Amino acid sequence: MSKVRHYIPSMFHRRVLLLVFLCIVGILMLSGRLGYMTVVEGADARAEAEKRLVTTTWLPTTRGRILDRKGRVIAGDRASYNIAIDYRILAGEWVYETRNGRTASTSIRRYATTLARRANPDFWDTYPESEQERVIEQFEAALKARVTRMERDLLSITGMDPDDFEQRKQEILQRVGAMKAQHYDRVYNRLVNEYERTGHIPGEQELARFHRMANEPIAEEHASHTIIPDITDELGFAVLRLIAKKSPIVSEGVDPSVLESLNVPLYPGLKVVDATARLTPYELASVAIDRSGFPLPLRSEEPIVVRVDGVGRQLLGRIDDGLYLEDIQRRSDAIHDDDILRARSLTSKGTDRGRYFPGDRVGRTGIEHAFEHELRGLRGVRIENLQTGEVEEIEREHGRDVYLSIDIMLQARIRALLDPSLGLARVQTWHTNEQPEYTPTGTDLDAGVVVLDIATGEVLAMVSTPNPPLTESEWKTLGVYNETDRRLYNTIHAPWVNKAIAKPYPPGSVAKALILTEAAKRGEYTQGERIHDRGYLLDNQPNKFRSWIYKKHDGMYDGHSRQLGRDLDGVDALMVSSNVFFFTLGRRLGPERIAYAYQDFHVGRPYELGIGTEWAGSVGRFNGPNDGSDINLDEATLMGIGQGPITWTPLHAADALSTIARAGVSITPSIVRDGNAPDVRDIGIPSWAVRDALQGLRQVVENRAFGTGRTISYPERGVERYEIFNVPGLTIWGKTGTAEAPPLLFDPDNTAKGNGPQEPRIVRKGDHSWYVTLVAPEGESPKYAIAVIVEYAGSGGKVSGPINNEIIRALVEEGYLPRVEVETELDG
Amino acid sequence: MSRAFDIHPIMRLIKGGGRNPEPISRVLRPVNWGWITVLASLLLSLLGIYSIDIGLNENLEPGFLELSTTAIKQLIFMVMGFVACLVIMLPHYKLVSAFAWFYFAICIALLVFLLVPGIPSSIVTPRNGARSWINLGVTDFQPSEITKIAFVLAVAQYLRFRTQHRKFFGLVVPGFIAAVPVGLITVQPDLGTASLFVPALFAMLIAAGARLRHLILIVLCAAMSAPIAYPFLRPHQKDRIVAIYKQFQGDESTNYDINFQSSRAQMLIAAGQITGTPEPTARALVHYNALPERENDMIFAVVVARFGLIGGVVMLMLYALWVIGALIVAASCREPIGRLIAVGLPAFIATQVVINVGMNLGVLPIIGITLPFLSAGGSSLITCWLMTGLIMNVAFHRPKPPYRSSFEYADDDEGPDLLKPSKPFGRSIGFSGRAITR
Repeated sequence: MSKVRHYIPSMFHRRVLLLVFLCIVGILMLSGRLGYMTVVEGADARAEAEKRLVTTTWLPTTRGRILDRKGRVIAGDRASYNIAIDYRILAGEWVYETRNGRTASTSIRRYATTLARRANPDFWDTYPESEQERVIEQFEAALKARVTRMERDLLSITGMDPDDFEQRKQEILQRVGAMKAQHYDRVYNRLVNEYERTGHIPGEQELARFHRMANEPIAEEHASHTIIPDITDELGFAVLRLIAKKSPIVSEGVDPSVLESLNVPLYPGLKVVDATARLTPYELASVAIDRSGFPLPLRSEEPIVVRVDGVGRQLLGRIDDGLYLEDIQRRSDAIHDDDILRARSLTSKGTDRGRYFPGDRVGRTGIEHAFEHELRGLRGVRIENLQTGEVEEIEREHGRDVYLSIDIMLQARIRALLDPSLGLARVQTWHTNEQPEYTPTGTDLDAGVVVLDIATGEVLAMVSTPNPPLTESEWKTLGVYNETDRRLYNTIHAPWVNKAIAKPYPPGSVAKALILTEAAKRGEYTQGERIHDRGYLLDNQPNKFRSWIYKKHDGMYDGHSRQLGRDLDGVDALMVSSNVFFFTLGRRLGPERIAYAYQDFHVGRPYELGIGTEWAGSVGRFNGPNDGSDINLDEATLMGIGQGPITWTPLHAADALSTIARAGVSITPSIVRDGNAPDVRDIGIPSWAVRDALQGLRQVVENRAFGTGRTISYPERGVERYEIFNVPGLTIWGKTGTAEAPPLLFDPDNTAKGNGPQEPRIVRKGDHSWYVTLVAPEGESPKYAIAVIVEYAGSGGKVSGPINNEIIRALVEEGYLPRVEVETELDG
Repeated sequence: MSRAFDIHPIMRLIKGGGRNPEPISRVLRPVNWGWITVLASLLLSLLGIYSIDIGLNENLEPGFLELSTTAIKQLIFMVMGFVACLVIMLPHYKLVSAFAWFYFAICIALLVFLLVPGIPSSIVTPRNGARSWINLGVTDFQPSEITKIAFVLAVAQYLRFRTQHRKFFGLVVPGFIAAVPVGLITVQPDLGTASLFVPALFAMLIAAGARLRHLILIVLCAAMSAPIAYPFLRPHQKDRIVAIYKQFQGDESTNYDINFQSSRAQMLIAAGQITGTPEPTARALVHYNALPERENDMIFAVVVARFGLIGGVVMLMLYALWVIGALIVAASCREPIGRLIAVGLPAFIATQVVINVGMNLGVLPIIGITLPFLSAGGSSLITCWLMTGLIMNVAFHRPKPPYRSSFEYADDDEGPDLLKPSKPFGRSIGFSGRAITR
């Protein structure tokens, strides 16, 4: 200090110097902060500030189509938009955007007052009241004029009749008014009742409070309501552009500096709502069914037209506009994992053009779900630089089309055939129903069907019944009115499960064909070998592994050897569906190799069709390792006839017989034509075994005396037998299966372990009915494989057989098999 | 110079009254440090007009001289201010300050008038809830602006020959002089302007030789009592303090709310980066980011958005030039009232700049204070030019004898006794070499 004093003797000058110093410190501190902000935070802030120079408009896209093998569009978008107006505007209020981007409403008068004040920021309070009133009225009139002009312009560009417009407007006002009144009553009465329950009579103050609470706006009062439905794409965009426009409500005589604050939308409260509909033109089909080849009691020369709803519902799946966090996560994962999708979808700034916006439709099940990212299009982007006026546009990309191997008309025909009203999928007297307690005559039966093109492995049709009910009215049509009934229905019919690919079934005798080929492949059955069938497998245990005729005819025969008068070779065994023969092969193969046998035919591995949930098949116990390691010898023996710890699906069945028909070449079935080559491999069956197996399958259908799948009889016609297959000019190979199924339980209490007060009860019991065929024009090798399963229907031949026959007829009708006209009368 | 001319009223005014036989060339100092303040004022005013136009011109790419209305108004005010500056720099500051109490009284009366209930709103027009303006028909007039000058003159007038302010309780009277306008302006309410008086008073007290420890003690007491004052703040004032606290915590929740103005200003300031943005971009950035008060309290953000860090620092340097120029004028003046005028006025300017820029940079809460010379507004700009004129006045005129050496004390800020008055120190200079009040 003394040094300073020495150099600057004047105290005043020292003090001035102090002030200079303080000034410099202040300036330096401010400069430091300024430097930090501009240098360190500068780039981010510039980017953030420049964001507001750019407006981004997303242009909607359409979802890809789903087409069948003949190019028919079975699901596609029809672009459509609705023009909607905010209820508050319709109700004579004003809606405006707040600074944080939300909408708020107020009366037109109050908003006019706000604007009037904004227009005269300096002098408003100096105006006398009458002058203020005059200016407010001027603004109020201008705001009302905007609404009037909007309505007039809408009428002019859409060509809507003014009376219709007015009527529509009144309808909305009345509807929301009624909802509001209902809501008011409900809330008000509830509050009064709750209060009275405490033993008090509400006073005026309480009633006023209840009135306020009940009078809270309902959601519809803050929503936009469609006033002009179904406008075109072009018109939708035109209106969208108009909606974005704003202009000062009054511009004359207003200080230019406040003009911006007077900006009001030209079209207040107007919205264009994307109402693009997903059309499924073949979902509702009318199919003429020729009943001339039906089982005798159902037969008619008159074709019947069946109206089928939900032809491809199980396959196409469901789509809705409720967006879940999982959907967003799934999209994000897909973008992350799939390089091609990422390259297609991301803009240069890394924004996913296909990301979900609220209200977007999302595939929930089936193909709509499985191919969501392909079907979903990529939005277009219009980026406008407000400063330069430059516009950058990225064209929207429509969703990719998905081509299916399905023939939708064949699908519709099969779906129609399974309509219980035709009688084929309904319990009939000739079914010799063994479970009348659970499935009395007339009960509707559920089925799963797969039709495969043997040469390509493509699925031509895939049907599962019944269709899942989608709406309350559909439930009511089914006679289901409450939650318990709904659970009962779901338990019995499992409508959401695609029975063709996603429900586990025991293979039953259908498996015998593949067991024969596998035993031959693994040296457990040699060419020409004959096995004695005495009606049961093990000595001294006639009730353990016994023949189905032993069971059926109460010991009338003691086995198929006696029935045929010879020991059985593979052909005989398939023809008569000998249990003892295949128990023997199952036992010879043993646990490990019988597991391999089924695995050779894809059991235990999903096909990955890409259309949703599949049942991969199980080898071994449920919830086990699924590799056969938990199978014992007796179980392996049972698996020889397709029972025991083994399950598959109709697709496995059709695929297995197709593989045999291809002489052991397996082609993984496919349903989506994605251009990828199918997975083909030879499972190495000896050719003689293929010949034997096919001959055996042929005999099942061909041999009038012993073929298990050739004829059925009707009690009312005595012992006379009638042909199951009656489409002329074709060769058919087939295998029936009457597979023992576990009883189906229903627990009314809906408790996990059935430990509620009510006992779980059996709702279905008995055998599933299988019939799997290969079919070809006469003299040719098998062309198509058809697998039919009818749940809890009993005999394979009696129930699934006629359905299979009609599917073959459908293949003829749709041109897959030649139509051969014959004069001879069918069936006797 | 002839005698007749010598007694010409204008000459007498310039010479400071009386019959001063000295030639005018001896009385005036045409070459002086005051010109720095004029130059800085000119550059800052032009920068202000340009920035106002950037902020307000609806046309984002205007042609040459296609200025916005507010910018044109500001240009007119600048010319008026310049004329006012020339006018006020001519009469000797001793003559000007002779009527200091009178000006102060007038200003106080005007401030009281603003608050009188029942005055029609056509005369006193509340703006943003503040009764700060008197409607003159053509334009509005803000008495608190001109009160700043009257206050400096009054305090200077009070302190010039006194030594009481070297005692702790001697600070009561200067404190009271400040309290009157501060109270009246706070009630308007115009917290921004009110907050300038105390720092200006402190600067003048420092210059006048008040003991620093007294002043520091007062500052500490004020700082400690600040939390007591918090409950008396208005809700929006509390919100702004909370907002700035939240902002330092990294909480951006108030950015679309109470902190909107500050957050937008900060973003635009940072967006200016080092060299700023081209003019059309700056216009677009300010326009589409909807910066509130862009022509007014937030004009610094516009300057930086356009000229970047370099522009911002240059602008601060211009203020520094003005303030330091004024302080050099003070330092080169030997006469007490001139010294105090040339300290008090830059104190106002410096405080105002620090608060306004601090507010723009997000380090101080928004209190509504203009940036001298730059912000749009006639009262503010003309007042600033009047200040420049007064500084020039002090610089322009040599001290009129008799004068004494002022504010020189032997003990500086030392000595244990807080209450004991100090002895003036130093040799007397000027007419007859003696201080007349000893």
